[in-house]
Amino acid sequence: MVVETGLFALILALFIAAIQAVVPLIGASRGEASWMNVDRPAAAVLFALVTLSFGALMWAHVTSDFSVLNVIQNSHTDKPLLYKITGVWGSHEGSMMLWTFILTLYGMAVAVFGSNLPPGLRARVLSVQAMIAFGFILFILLTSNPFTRVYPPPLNGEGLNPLLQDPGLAFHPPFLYLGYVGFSMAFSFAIAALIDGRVDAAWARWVRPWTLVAWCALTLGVAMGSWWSYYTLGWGGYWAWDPVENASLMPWLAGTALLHSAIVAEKRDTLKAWTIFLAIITFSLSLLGTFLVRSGVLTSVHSFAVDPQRGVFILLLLTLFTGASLFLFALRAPALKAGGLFAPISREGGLLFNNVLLSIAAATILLGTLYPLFVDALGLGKISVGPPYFNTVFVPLMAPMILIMAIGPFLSWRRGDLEGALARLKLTFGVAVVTITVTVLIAGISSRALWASLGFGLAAWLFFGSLAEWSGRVGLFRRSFGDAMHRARHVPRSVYGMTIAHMGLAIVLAGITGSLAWKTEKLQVMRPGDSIMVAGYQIEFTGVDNDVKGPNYTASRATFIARKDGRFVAKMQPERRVYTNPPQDKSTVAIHTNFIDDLYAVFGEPDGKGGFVTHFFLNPLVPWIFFGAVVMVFGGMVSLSDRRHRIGAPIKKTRIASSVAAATAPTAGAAPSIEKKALLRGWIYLLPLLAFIVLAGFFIHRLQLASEGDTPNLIPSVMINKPAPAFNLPPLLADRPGLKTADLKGKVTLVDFFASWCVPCRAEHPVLRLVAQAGIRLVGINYKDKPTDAKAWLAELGDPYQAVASDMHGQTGINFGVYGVPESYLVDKNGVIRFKQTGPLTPEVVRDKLIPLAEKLER
Amino acid sequence: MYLVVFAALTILSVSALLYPLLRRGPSATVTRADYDNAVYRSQLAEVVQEAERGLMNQEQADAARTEIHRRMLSTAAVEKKGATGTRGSRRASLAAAIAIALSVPTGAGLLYAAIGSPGMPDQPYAERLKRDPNVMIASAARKLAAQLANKPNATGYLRLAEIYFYLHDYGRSATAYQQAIDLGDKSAGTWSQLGETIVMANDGAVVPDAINAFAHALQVDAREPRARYYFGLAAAQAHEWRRAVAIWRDLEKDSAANAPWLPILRQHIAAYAKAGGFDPASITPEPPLLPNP
Repeated sequence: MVVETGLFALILALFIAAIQAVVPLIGASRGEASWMNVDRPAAAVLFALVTLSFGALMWAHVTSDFSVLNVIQNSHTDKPLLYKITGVWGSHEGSMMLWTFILTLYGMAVAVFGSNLPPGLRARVLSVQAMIAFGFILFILLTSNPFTRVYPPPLNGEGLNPLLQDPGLAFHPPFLYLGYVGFSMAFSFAIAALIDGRVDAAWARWVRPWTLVAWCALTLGVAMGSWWSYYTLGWGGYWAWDPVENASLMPWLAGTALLHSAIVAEKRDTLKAWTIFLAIITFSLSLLGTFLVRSGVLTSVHSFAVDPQRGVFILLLLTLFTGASLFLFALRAPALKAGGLFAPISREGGLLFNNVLLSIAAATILLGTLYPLFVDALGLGKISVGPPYFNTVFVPLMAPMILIMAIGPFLSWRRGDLEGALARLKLTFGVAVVTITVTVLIAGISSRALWASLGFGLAAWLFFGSLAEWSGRVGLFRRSFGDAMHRARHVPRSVYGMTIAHMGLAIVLAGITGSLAWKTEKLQVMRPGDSIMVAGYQIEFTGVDNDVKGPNYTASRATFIARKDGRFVAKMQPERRVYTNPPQDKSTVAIHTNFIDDLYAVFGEPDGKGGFVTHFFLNPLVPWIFFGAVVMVFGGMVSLSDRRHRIGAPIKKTRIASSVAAATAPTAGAAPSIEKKALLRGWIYLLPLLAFIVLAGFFIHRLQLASEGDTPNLIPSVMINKPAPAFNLPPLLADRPGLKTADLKGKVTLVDFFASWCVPCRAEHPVLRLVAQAGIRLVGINYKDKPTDAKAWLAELGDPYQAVASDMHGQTGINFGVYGVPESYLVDKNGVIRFKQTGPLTPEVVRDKLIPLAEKLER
Repeated sequence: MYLVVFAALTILSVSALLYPLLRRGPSATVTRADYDNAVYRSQLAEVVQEAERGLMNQEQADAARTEIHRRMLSTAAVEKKGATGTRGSRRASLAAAIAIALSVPTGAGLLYAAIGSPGMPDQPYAERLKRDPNVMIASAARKLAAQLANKPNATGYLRLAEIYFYLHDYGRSATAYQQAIDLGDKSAGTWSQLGETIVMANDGAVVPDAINAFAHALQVDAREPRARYYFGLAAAQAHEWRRAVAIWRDLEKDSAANAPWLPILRQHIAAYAKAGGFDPASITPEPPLLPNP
């Protein structure tokens, strides 16, 4: 009853969205007041129906209704209640429901708070929102229906991936989606304005609060995601330039640019086409991220739901939304008249400069994320772009931006006084120089210390520069204290928001610098009773409790006592857990923080001789990164509370209903002449569309390849059904055998390429145990790795392989056609490759493909 | 009941959409310019405030004011130029209302009929725990398993293994039998039940792990019937039909006349002898050959 009602409500929502997409839009262009007025009730009904549907799905999860396929696949009666609730969006289907729920929530918010919007604009905004909702609800119903039923219901469910059984799941996806989807508001405003043909300063003011909300949510979402992976994945880092992480950073960069260009559009009625363009791009990047992560075109350690078939649909949505909006942009943008002029050195100039840098940064990350695909398509070989690329291109872009960020707020609109601004930054400059000097004095002369000192210098420059701007604004040192405080109270909140957010970024920057420069790491085997020193902390291993019982797991818990100068600092208890449903391992780290640095402990596998692998990190200033992000979000919220964003509706005059059309009719008459002119001189505005068409064509090609293999393969393996290439590799571990081609014969064998530097391999590792348990011979080839690192890695996580060989130069990998690690090949009894998995193995692939195939081949 | 709820949802949703279309009388409206000017007036007020507080010099304030005034003028100009025909026709509203009232219920009904499971009740776990004996047993098994994890003992694991076997959960059943054996129950019966469970887990194939378990059973008690039966089956699956029949005939010879397995055993002997094209009576009964331990 509840479940079926949830499905029906979602279907009804699809049709309501269709009505909301069509009727108000036609109403707005033809001046039918009553048609336009359908927008608000439709948005409210849409929200109510999707909420009902989402609630029904949650109900099914909470009551463990195993007649619902989605519940079977992601739940188990032993799972704690919190994870029964958050597990709703732990799966692909559920997360798309959350996505749609938030989308309709924003539509509802426009309906409720949008009384300051002209009815024509509001009708068009809500219509575009409904088009997006229609696309996504259709996507859910056709490819990812969460209400698919099963009869008879099984006795119990399969449980949720232990990595997702974490409080982080409760907060991270909702905020991330609030951000991603929030930028759909800016997108809808942009499209509405393009249809309308009117983009003016007033429009920019109307769109700004929505952009701010989305920006705050996305900032928080990205920071939470980073924090979550920091404390669960157990590798001591917080950012790996993984495709999923990049997918969230790109819209953040574009969205940050949008936030700033909208200020220029509002204040000076200029940069309008650029603002519209950014609004389109920001939302498109959100969609692109969804596509890349869920289609299996790129693999990532953080993606939990991959399916190339769905990729086709998402690509279709992306093409429709982005393609159509860029087409509209090419048509209409040339007609947008630029407003006020400004000198290069001015507030506008500074904001434009920051915009350009942010956009280039977003483009570079996009390029880096897609580069391996391009290179492979051109037949130039298979490469993988890692942190080195991103670090080398990202830092030079961000450094000048931060330099300008401190100066910009001192410049006045139209024409700024650079000398004057720099004069007022003298003191700040001094502080930055002192910071650099002190850093070098403490850390000594080395390239690392030099980089660190520059990073801290920039952070100090931005932090104190922002403070200096505020104190100059209120006249802290020029006037009496009371007077200054009086002025401080009257500074608009949006200005406070800027100051706080900029200072937050300075704190983040300091945190990143510190953690990059002075991270200490120690990996060793310890026996209970042993002590070691880690960056000034004495850490004593007091013992292991092998009998810890959780609600749906058992664990071994180690206890470490950390002391500094003989004084007790912390008791740390990392665990190694074995979950029952699904049977998977997960290690939980212990972190002790004093808000300046984090002591981070990982408890690894036993060595079989009474010792255990332990891994400690001292991560300096990492807490500042997350704290700084929260400060930035706080700044955004302060700015949001500015009353300028809440300008009331004009006083209503009672007229006959028909006269409202006057508000919207003009464009209908004006449009044709605009289009004609646009097509003649607006070729430059066509470029984004052309670029997008090329990109979309490329993705179609890619997806085709992805769906040809039986797994989401990046590259169709030419090796399938061919004998495994000849190789003879030395052993990684001295006391174990090496590996050569002949060894593969006689028994079905899974050859797994892995490396210690590969983050997805870490996610794959527990799954390998399932392979070994199923009786398939499992051998590992350590790909382009330092043997010492690989040994430490195996010691920490355990060694499931029957033989591990070292392919230090990657020649064997190339012969196998390895694109990137992890990658694994199932070889039959005669040494012929029968199956290839690109990217990490998942329990589903092992269960549904690998084991049945291996059994077949074994016969 | 379903139809009532669905109909109510549909009627509520559609009528909310129809309300603005069917509403009569004048509505309070303003022009786009009014909205634009509301923003520009507030911008003007901000300029005045900032100039008063000295955050902006007079020259800047004047320039900003001029610019905002220019925007207000251009808004008015657009408004004037585009003041074309206005509409709010009753006919258009009615047409939209009818289209919505017809299309939404029809579309939703058809799509639900295509992808929904009409009439399928919810199956919350708590309810099933009261009704479905298998769910009750499975739940009891989970509790027993949790108890045994704290206080392991062979009898308990044996019972647990039998429950899992009953529930067709052969993987868990085999693990539980193995645990009972590890905890000291090394009887022939337990070994052979472990073997049978492994066979079931492998869809009836007598795999090496199972043969190993049966061999253990026969080492304890060379007459254990279940193990002997499966050794025969293993031979049959290896297409050694004469050996299979020999082992089964040996078992048949030792079985009491009322042994429950006799009918099926005789069926097997007859079927495999026919497949091999030999007379079962011509085969000398033989005990199974144990693999080397």
